[in-house]
Amino acid sequence: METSDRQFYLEDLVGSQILSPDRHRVGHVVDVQVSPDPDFRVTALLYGRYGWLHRLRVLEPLMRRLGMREIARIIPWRAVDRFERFTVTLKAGWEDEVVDPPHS
Amino acid sequence: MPKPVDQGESLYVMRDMMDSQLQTSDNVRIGRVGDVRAEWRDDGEVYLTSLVTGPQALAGRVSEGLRPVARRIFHDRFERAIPLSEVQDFGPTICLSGKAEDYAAGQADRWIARYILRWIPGSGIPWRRQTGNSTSKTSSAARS
Repeated sequence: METSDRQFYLEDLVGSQILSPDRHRVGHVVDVQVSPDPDFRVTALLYGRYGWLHRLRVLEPLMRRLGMREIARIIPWRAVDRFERFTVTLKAGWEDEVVDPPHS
Repeated sequence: MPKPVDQGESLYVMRDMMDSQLQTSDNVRIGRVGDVRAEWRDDGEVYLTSLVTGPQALAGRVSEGLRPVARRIFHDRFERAIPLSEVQDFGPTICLSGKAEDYAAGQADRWIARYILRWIPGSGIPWRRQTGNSTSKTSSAARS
């Protein structure tokens, strides 16, 4: 099954390297946040080591038990400038866009 | 009846979709999600379009280079895309709105189960039933 230039598989995005506009490494995409039904729009990228715990559904109960806030890192999709060849490049000033992940 | 998707809760592709079991409205399991296809639209937003099942999708997850190789081998025979609009509920099991006959997915899983897994001891697939002699031998041994 072929995809057009505008289409891609999410597995190619997950694991991709995230670079700042000045080519500094920010991390790797661990998961992709999507708005629920009906549009399924990609809203953010989850990255960082705590992202793995979030993906495994371990982070929230662990942080609750430790009395800490969830600290998985999220970059909103609007901060993404481009995605090509397993590399996500962020827009200038992307740091201002970083927000805390919603609890889900 | 599956509960509807919670409108207020965000979904995560790897956590809530990838590798999840696909189940139709008549409770038939038709395979697992191999990958998710997305589309980058002109407004700069990316939207998920379909869940993909089949060996080609799985090969692509191992390595992007394996995708054309798998395509050459399988010729899209087992590859199926299920529109996300068909999904009623997400989770370890993804509930679909259609019945099993509406989807051609799961052929690869069934082929692997029928021709490969059945020979593995402990697989749970009753291969003896399909070879009549083995069953009758077991029955006669039990009687004696």
